[in-house]
Amino acid sequence: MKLFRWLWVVLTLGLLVQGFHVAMFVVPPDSNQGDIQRIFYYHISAWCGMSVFFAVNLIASIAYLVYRNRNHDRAMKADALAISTAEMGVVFCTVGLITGSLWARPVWGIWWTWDERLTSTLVLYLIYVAYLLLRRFAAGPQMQTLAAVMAIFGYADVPIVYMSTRWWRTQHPAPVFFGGPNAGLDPSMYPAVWWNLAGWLAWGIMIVSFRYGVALRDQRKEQQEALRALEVTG
Amino acid sequence: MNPMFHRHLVLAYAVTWVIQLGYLAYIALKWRSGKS
Repeated sequence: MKLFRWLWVVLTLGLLVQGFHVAMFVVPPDSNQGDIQRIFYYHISAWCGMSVFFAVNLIASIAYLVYRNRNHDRAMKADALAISTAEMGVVFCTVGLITGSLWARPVWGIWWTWDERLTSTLVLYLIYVAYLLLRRFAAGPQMQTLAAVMAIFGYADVPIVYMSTRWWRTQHPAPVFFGGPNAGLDPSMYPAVWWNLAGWLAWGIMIVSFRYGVALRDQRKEQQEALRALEVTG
Repeated sequence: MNPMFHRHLVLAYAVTWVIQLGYLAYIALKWRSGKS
């Protein structure tokens, strides 16, 4: 297991180095935007990472609600996965918002606009920050149940974010994937997209596995402390 | 190439790494504080 972890770390770093090299030095600059378009390779990787980890958070939250009264061990594992993926999703969302803003300033002339894509994404970000704050400042099994329910309702914003550029006329560029006949990238740019997507997803999985281990250990510690307190009062 | 554009590109990549490595450092600190 330890060897597998080290291999995963090496693979991740290799993918990220290759992704950076291809994005900066191999693929051509955009004919309209020039080099500033290269921000896109980190930007889209952040959004894909966010989507994947919020989806896993949804599944883990449902699993927690299913198992909480049936199988305590599985419920705790699901809860540890939920907190780990929510944090990773928020990290990717932060990266996506900042890189988007850094791209928008030279291209649009503004840092931010309240269009449907950007606003729904900011709402999504705030929902998951609220989820993490709830987990940080409340305690006990009720908190875990509340957090799981909140995660399920919070995820409802993800399809709205995804569909926003299809449902409304937004300032945001058309979707790259499944965006229709006039959307997408020049085929020469796809290698940078794939390498960075693979690299950042591998990075996300690696970080989530570390965070999951810490969350499980903290849960066990809390359980032991609760048992000790019961023994003292009993 | 407009130098301001270049600055934004470097900033975007640097900010991404700072945020990701910052989160990794937070996990490492959490791990260490729980160990003691």
